[in-house]
Order: sequence, then C-alpha cells, then structure tokens
Amino acid sequence: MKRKGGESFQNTKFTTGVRTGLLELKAAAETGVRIYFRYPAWLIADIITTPAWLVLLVLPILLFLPREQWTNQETLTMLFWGWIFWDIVSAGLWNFGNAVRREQQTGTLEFLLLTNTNRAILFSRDIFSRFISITLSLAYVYFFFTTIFGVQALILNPFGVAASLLVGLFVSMGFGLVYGALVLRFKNVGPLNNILQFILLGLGGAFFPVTSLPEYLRLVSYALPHTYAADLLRHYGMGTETLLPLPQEWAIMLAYTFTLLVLGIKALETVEKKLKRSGQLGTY
Amino acid sequence: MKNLEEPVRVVHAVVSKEMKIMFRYFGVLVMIASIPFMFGGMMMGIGYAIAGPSAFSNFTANTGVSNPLLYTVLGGVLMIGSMILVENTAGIIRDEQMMGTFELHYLTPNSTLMLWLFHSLSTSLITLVIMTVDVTVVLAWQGSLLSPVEWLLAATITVLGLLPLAGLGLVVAALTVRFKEVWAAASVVNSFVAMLSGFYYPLEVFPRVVRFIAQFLPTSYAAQALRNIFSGGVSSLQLWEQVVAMTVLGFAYLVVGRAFYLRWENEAKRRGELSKY
Repeated sequence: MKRKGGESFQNTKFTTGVRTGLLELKAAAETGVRIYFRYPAWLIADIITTPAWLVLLVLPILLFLPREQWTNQETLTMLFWGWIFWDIVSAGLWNFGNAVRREQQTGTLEFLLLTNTNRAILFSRDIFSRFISITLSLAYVYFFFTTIFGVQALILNPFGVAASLLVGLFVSMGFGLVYGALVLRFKNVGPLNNILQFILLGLGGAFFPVTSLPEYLRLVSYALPHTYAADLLRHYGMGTETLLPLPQEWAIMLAYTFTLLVLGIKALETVEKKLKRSGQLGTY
Repeated sequence: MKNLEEPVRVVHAVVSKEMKIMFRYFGVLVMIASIPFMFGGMMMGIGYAIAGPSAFSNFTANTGVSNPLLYTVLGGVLMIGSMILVENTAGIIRDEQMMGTFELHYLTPNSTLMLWLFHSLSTSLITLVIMTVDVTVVLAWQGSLLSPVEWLLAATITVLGLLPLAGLGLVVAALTVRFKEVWAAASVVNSFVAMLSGFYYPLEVFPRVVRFIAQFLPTSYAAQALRNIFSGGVSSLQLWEQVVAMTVLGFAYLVVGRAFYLRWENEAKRRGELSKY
C-alpha cells in the first residue's frame, strides 16, 4: 500500500451508497434514542419546567404592551410559534458541536474517527432524540400555553407547519455542522454559538415579522435563511402574509438548506483532515 | 486565633482554585456576562417590534421604571447568578465523583460541607464582578457611573440574595446524588426560582397565591432592592426590611441545606456508600 506522507485521512475510504448510509443513520438514531431514554429525569424536568420558562419569556415581552392587550390572541400565538422555532433552531445549532465535545471529553473521538462512517451522520445522533423531544414539547407547550395564557394558539395547516419546522431544523443543522467543525478545531467555542443563536432568533424574526424592524436591520434579516423559515411557520400556523410569494420562499429555503448542509459537511471534513495532518486531533 | 485562621485559609484556597478555573475559560465568562444583554435585548426588541413606538411608555406604565435596559440587565445578572449558583452547588459533588476526586476531600481535615459552601461563595463573587461590569456598561452608556456607595449596597444585596440558594443546591445534591441526574433536578429548581423571583417583571402581575410563595425566595427581595437602588422601581418594602427578610431567609435556607446534606453524608458513611456511584 502506498503511503501518502502518513496522512490517514487520505487512506480512509468513506462509505458510499444508499444502503450503507441508511445503516449508519439507523445506528446513529439508535444511539441517540437510547441515550435520551437512559436519563428519564431530563424528560420529566423538561415538562415540569416548561410553564416556568414560558412565563419567564412571555411576561417580560407583554410588559411592552398596554395591559388590555396582554390576552391578544395574535400576539400570543406569534410568541407561541416563536418559542417552538427557538427549540428547533437550538436543536440544529448545538447538536453536532455537543456530540463532538462529548466524544472529546470522554476520550472516544479518535476511535470514532478511525471508522469510515460519514462524519455528519456520526455526530448527528442527538438530532434523532430531538425529534422525539420536540414532538413531545410541541404537545405540552401547547397545553401549558393554553392553560396559562388562556388562548389557543392557531395551527391552521399542520402539514405546512411540520414542513417549515423541518426545513428550519435542517438549515440550522448547516450552521450546526460548521459549529461542530469549530469545536473539533478550537474545542470550547460555545459562547460564539450562543451569540449566533440570539442573532439568528432576533434578526431572523422568530418572534415577530421582520417587516417591523428598522430598514438597515431588515437588509440583514433578508439575507438570513431563518427569516424565511420563521415566516413560513407563521404563514402555515397563523395564516399571515409571507414576505415573498410562497414558491419563491420555498425555493430560497431549499437552496439555503442544501448549500449550508454541503458547506457544513465540507467544513467538518476539512478540519478533520487538517487536524490529522498536524497531529492535533487528540489535543484538547 | 487559629480557629479563625483555618477557615480563612480554606476559603482562600477554594476561591482561588475556582477563580483560576473560571478565568481559564475566559470566553465562557464573557458569554455569561453578555447573556443579560442578549436576553434583555431580545425582550426589548420583540416588545418594540410588537408594540411599536409606544413600547417603552407602556413598559414604564406597567413597571414604574423608565429604563428597560437597566431593568432587564439587572434581572438578567441576578437570574444567571442564581442559576449558576444552584447548579454549581448541586453539581459539585457529582462533578467530583465523576472525576474520581470526591473521596480525596475526606482525607483533608476540612469540613466537606464548608468546602461545598465556599464553592458557592466563589460563584457569588463572580456574579458580583459580572454585575459590576454589566451595570457599569449600561450606566456609562447612559452618561452616569456607579458610585462606591451604590456599588457597596448592590454588592451586599446580591450576595445576601444569592448565597442562600446554596442551601437549595445542597438539598438537591443530597437528594439526587445517588440517582446521578443532579442537573435535571437543579434545572427544575432554577426554572421556578427564576419565574417566582420577578427578575424580569414586577411580581404584582401574578395572582396573590403566587406572590405569597415568592415571598419565601430571597432572590425576589434582591431583585426588588437592586431595582430600587438603580432604577427607582416601586416596592412595598423599605430597603432595610428587604435586607432583614433576605438575612432571615438566608439563615433558614442554609440551615435546611446543611441538615439535608449532613443527613445524606452520615447515612452514606454508615452504609459505606460514599464511593458507590
């Protein structure tokens, strides 16, 4: 076998084909779901704490409205969908980086990177458990929201809602993969991701239509994929007008999702290659 | 003299160790300091986007405070401080267990209870630093500065309001250390402390029964008192009354926390379970 400067990455023959891809996905999903159900206290804690977090987020926002508008259905529904969207964005953003960091800390990263598994799938395991947790949380957040604030949040088109949440998750996963690559390289970059999350939520109009932002901020908003994901979610959930015609918004979203996922996978691949070449893979 | 000297040395050792660890991850520290701005900024942004130009006058009408930035930053500092404190105190034993260093503490002549409590003191000191930086930034941006008297008062209130939560952390640690999921339990405590303390809103928005429960949280007095000092919030209690309430509650929390912890520790020692995890 011809050695290429001792660089193991070049010798790694990554798996290809639909069947192997599906098998890898199955393995990642099984691992993620098993870990999730191994700690039932977290699931219970999530349910118990939801009303408290809802009050903590919604009440301070209502303080900016006159008291008689605190029960306004449209405003509260918008906040409800904003809350759900936040969950989706954070699932996509944090999962890959957290998985990489956990493997680094438990000393198992190098072993995993000796395998020929697709790296994006390898570190995607938490996404599968998040599917379960997000579906559950949609149900109990809805229940608590209705109980606490006395309004029933609108869900006009459940399939449209599910589709826009899914595309919101995938587009966030694109950013998440880049974050995963940064964790692989710089280890502790959580603060950066946290700031990015607030920017995406704020300027992406998770809780309000970006048309209410000042014009100079709106320009930034229009460049963010999350703006369209949140806009589609509000459209299918509450029946609001979309920023652009529907087909155009979907086309933008899908193009963004594809580009960001490809860029993210490429970033992960490039960083791994560089770290292997410089011998820094196990330095943390 | 020797009796006083020993605990001081232990405090010094624990606090300097914790500070070294915290400042080793400077990025995390910067993030913690910026969370009150990010969270407060997000609320103000959403509020403005939803309510329009009348947002800030509505805020003043609802809270009695005309400075939403200072209001939310103060609330954010206390919230993040209280969360870290409960999580650290509840999780310190579990952390030590996972690193395999827990039993080593029993080889030292120090009280383990004091060791864990001194960790909480370090967290309170970090919160003080964050409070000083964050409030100074807001005040400086608005053209004023924090006077030494204001700082001293705010620092006293912050420590009095937060330190008792170490008692809650010890209860969580003692109850859950054997079941391994300390952080899930700490998250439950944190969420309700955050909701009931009124960090981001006046407690008057709640029904009477919720306000009654909130009276038993030292952080609810700390939030009111800090707002009174910096942004002229309205409170039904005088400052000295709030300080007395926090001191009494602090004492009660720490006594209860100590009782729970010692009960767990004695039981674990008796059954030989200290290193069984």
